[in-house]
Amino acid sequence: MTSPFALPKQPPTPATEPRLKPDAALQTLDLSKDYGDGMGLMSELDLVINKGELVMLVGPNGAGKSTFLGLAAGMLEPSNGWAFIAGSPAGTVPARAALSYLPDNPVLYDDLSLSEHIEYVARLHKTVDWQDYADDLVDMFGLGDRIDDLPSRFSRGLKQKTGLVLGLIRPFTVMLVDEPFVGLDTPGQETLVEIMTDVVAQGASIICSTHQLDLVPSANRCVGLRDGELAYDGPATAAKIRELVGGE
Amino acid sequence: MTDVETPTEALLDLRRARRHNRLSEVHWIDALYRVYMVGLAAVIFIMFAVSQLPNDRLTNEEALQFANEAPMWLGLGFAIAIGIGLRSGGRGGPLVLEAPVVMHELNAPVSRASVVRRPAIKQLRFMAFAGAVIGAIIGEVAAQRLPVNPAVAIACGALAFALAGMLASATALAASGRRLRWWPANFLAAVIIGWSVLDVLGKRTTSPFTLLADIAFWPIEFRALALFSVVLVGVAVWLGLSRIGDLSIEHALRRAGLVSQLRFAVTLQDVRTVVLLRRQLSQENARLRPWIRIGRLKRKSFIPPTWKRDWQSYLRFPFPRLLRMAMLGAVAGLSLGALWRGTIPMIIVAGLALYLVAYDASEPTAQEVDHPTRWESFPDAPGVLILQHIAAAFVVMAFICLIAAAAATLLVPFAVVWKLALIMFVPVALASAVSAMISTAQGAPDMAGLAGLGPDVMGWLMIARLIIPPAITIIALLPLLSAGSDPNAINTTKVGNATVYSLFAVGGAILYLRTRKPKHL
Repeated sequence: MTSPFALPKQPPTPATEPRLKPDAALQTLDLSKDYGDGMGLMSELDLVINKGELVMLVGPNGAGKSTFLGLAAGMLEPSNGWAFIAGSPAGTVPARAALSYLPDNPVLYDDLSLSEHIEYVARLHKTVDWQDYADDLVDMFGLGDRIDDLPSRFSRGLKQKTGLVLGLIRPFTVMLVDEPFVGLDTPGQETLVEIMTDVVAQGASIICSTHQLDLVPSANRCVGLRDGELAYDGPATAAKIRELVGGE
Repeated sequence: MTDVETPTEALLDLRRARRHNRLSEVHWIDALYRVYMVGLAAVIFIMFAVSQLPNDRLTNEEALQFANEAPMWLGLGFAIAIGIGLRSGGRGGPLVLEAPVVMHELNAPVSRASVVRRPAIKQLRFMAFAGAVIGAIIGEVAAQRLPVNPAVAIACGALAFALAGMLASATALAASGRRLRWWPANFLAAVIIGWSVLDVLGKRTTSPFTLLADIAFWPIEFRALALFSVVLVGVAVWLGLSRIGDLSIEHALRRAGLVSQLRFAVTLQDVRTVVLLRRQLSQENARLRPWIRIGRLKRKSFIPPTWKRDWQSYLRFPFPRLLRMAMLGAVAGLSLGALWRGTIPMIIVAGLALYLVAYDASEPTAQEVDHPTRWESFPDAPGVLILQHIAAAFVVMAFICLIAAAAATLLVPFAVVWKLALIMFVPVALASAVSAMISTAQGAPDMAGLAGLGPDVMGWLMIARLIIPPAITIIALLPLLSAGSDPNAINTTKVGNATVYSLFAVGGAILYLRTRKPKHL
């Protein structure tokens, strides 16, 4: 009989779980997700992402990419297994402090301007001297003249840029990004690739769900998912990505 | 990076900024006008309800007997409210956080309790206030018939209902913070409701909810034991707030998305979308395995495909939906019993209860409306397909009418019920099925088209869209008013004749359904 409570179980430690690597940027152990209708979406996924890696997460529609990112971010609760961010279980305060998560659809307040969004997120994450960096990011994404506007009234592309600024303004060691290139114009896409490359060079890790081939030269690694299972883990090449996306 | 401030300060500062931005967007004249209109409607409703009460006051002895029996019933009402709270808590409720709050604030490295505690207290406060208003109104209405001081009746009614509101909300918060699964939450709800039912049947006070209800009856008889329920509410509030930060983020995010859509659908008066989203919110999905599997038909079968498809849909209804349908049928029956006993406004309650059940019975029709391209491919006039769904919906509503008739026998002699049921059965089942199908088939309002008619006409049309469908069910019940109140001289002829007129409304509704077509055609 299952427990009447759905509280998270006690997480494993390196002493109880020899597979656990505390210095990994992201690690999943037997990670599974079942939405309760008998259809398993993620089944016992074991994955280690090291510090300073830029990983492209690819797979056909319904492969479980967004579910994997949601589980790793602590936004979804695993049916079984664990996700660790910088050695801490996903969803805990240290994991949240180390993580920046950008979902596929930017989530923005209706009643805060772009500058207020930036200030709020930066201060909430205890960022110091964020003002200059915020100005740089806003300029790089071409949002300078929209700084006092409400992002909830922005177009899809501008919302995406706002989401990226918010994801980048706060300190993090691991970034999970779901389809960040969708809706971006060409300059925006180029800026994003440039920033991601720069962030990884500074030692942070990025796991980016995308089929954008522009990112291939910067990516250290490609993880392919199919039906919630690991289909590929190796170097990122355009041919491999096409194969994984096509589901061949 | 060094810490320059605690994130809690940032949280408070930005909440202030958001409040300031929101208030600067408010059109105060419009807001005050809305408050005035709602207040006016509430006063008219209360005056109408009071005017419906008999003028005779109860004697002291009668009032004392009332105070001995009524708290069990009120306690049962409170237990049901708390059961609903538990059910909501088992599904991640009752809090509805905005999606950005979940995404940015609950994902920030701050204590989640500090983010959630404020909305939780706000909700407790709102529930207490709403309960107090309802309790005060009931206290005022009751004071018209009871030999009590109206001010004390209002105060005690407000206190009892405010505590009940807080208890329901706090129980839900406690269940949500402890991540109670849906099945123990529902089990607990069933236990507390069952306990109150036993109090009603045994005319005893054993349940804490009956004790809570006793507070409302203090103006008649003061029972100190009822103070225990105040302690219970305090403990529940403490339990509700103590672990609130442990709520499920997955549930919070799901609810945030659904509730914002729900609010938008309510603004548009799009009843079908409201029903759909409410089901998703309570995770009321179709069963993977039907209750009974209907096999493949033989090659030559006279059974229409629509009829079979409709029953395949009904046989996948989850148990809570079937239970709700049966309970609404019973509510309709009890309301009709009260109507026969002289409380005429209960016809509206009965009509609305049947209309709500019929909404579930029109689910297959809703599936056609939700999938216009498939509906469009039907090789006949689109309205004909909708009409084909009436038969199964009628049979479902006939079952519900049977339940209603059985429930009515609790208040009305059996001989009266069966005589009237025989006449009313077909028109009421048909009218309720058709009325819900009209509401479903009309779909979401075409705001752009309506706006072209001007604000006044648009307002009236929106009201008509909302009122006409349930009105058809209520019209079908009107012949009952001509039955007379003497159980030995029920005027079945008059009722039968009046039924003919209600069938005209049903006929008009069917003609309207015949004209329906997919939205994009």
